[in-house]
Amino acid sequence: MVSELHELHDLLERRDTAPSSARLPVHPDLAEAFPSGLRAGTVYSLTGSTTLALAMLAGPSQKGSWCAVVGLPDLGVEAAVEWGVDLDRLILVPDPGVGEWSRTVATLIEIADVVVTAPCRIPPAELSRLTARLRSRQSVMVVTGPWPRAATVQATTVGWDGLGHGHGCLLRQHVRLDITERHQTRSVCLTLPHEATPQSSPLASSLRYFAGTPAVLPRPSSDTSRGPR
Amino acid sequence: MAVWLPQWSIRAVHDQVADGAPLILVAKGVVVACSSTAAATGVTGGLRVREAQLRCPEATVLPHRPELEAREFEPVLRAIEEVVPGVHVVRPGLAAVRAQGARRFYGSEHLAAQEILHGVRDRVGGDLRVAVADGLFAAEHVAYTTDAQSPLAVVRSGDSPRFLAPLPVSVLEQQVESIRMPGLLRRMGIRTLGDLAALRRADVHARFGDDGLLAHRLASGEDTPVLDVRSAPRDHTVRIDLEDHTTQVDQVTDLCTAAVDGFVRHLTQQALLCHEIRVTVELEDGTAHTRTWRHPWHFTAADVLDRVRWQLQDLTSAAVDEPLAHAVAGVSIVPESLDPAHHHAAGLWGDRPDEHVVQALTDLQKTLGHAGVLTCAVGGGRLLDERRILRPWGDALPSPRERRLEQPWPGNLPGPAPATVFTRAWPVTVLTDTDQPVVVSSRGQVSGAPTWLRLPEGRPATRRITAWAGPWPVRQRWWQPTDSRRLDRFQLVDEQTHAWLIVAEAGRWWAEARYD
Repeated sequence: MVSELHELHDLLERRDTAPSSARLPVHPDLAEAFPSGLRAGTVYSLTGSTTLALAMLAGPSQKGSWCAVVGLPDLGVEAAVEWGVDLDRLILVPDPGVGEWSRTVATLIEIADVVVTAPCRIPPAELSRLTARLRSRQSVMVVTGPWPRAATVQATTVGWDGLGHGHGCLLRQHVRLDITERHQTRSVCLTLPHEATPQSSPLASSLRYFAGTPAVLPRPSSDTSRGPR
Repeated sequence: MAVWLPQWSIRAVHDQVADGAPLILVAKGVVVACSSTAAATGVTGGLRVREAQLRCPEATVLPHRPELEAREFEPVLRAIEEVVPGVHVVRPGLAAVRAQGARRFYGSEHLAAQEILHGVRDRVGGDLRVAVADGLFAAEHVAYTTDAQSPLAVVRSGDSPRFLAPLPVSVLEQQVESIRMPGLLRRMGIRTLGDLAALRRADVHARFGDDGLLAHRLASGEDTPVLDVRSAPRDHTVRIDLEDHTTQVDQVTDLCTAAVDGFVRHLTQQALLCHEIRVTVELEDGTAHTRTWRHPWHFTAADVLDRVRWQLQDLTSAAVDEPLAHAVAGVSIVPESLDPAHHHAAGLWGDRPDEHVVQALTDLQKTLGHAGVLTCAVGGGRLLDERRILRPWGDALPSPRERRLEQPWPGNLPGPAPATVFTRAWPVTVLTDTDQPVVVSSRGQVSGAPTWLRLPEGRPATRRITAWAGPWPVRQRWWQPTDSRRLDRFQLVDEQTHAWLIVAEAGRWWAEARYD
């Protein structure tokens, strides 16, 4: 009797509109932006960076979760691998079509812990159904565009390292993130990728050379930035 | 009981040259076999091709093809099987059968051997020798002692050691793994099998290991190998003939259901798994559409039906419910690769996705179409779109070897990979500060520093370039006249701090990827 009551209580809690305290892990490079991980059951509206969407996939994917990407036919799979996304557990739905979008996302939420999707206009009733499902499944949805009642992550590229006038190559990106979560805004500057490219690369030595050349682009002035060493 | 057809390699290809003409078979530049007329001029096995041609200039030289020999040997095997069942193929040209049953059936070994001799001669003809001895090794060597006039030799039970004793130890070369052992035996003064058999088996074992033990057993006439009987591979092909030709996809798959269920059940009963099938759809107008489907794990009945449905839908090439242009006359399903099921027993932690994941994604595929749900991998290549390998869910991704990722790809991109790789490259324009298009010369020189980037969309469409690098040449298949590509890559950062990977090809500019 008591156990049944507890079960009912749990069920109510899960159905409850209050967001739960469960968190999904994040990639170490994003630890500064999301110190306690991604809030399970919420929608993040991410604008300005596809790289960041891949980075948000990487944490749960490394922990063995399934991930899905909907409506992004131009996704760079190689970049996903570099972030550590396990391609064996990555599902791509390049073009679900407007009519099937919500059904597709709803199905994928059932199996994947993180779903990255391009925004789509859906009726409010479907939107609330989707949100409820997300909450009960404790998944995270990352929408690469505006989304109603979502935590927003606004990424602004501040500058690039490594590229000069006719020489060098792109090595690192300096990004400022303006994150608004539960009416609180915080601003973080990140360097992506934080680690240099893998040493195994045959170009690693030349990359180290390029990394030493002075960058021509303005560096972020904020103290929180983790600049190149 | 051994059945030997001398010079089988030559006889298998004899129809390619005139009768009696000298013929030499070569593999890797060395003579493998030669016809008797060629042998008469001094050609022997192991000779270099040039030397052999010098000795016998009029000889025809053909490559040695073991698979052709094996194929030509099939009628002989069938002829033997009609007389004595259970044939073991030692190699093309030499077959073995157990003498015991044949002796009981035909009365004696001699009669059984004669029966085989006549049976095979009637069907195949030509030179044929039959020998009976205690073991396969002895029987083979007894067969070598026969000649065309007396093609039958029987060594009575127990006499095999005596027959083998005078043979030189070099006959062991083909039997033991160690190449040096026969030579070593000779140097030790052990020149015949009789000498070897006279030694204590334990001593030979101690000196030569397993090879020595095997050699001693053979020399003592004690080899009784388990003859693995030839079994013709079974045909698991399923053919569904549709009597009333139909144009409805669903109707066709419904009619296939029972047969496909039977097909999968049949495979399961044989403890076989199938992970590649070939589906052929025959249309009323006589054309046939064949497609091979691979599965990352193995096919179930529902999977097979899905493949049939997708193949039919591809034929309609339009809306899902549209009828086919031509009625379907039949569907046949051929299992391409079969494997014993125990090779694929699921591990404790499973190497395949959970059942609910498979179920959900397969359902999704039914609504979005076969190519609507994809899995991906990274493959080798120079262009980024080539490096991205996408396959529909349920199709096997190429193996790491086929992906060729580890191979060097000169012209590969340094630095982190871009997060957006355009499936269709965007046409762009790159201008110098005097508004002239930037031109890359054939020697990789840029006509001016890229200053302006004009995009097909986005605001502002024309942007100032703040940093750039290039050109990085990419030369694809330059050795092929048709398929070759000459590209020059540039990395650009524009005033909006958007970073681009731009490709110049034959005076035109494309955006290949965006770092965002």
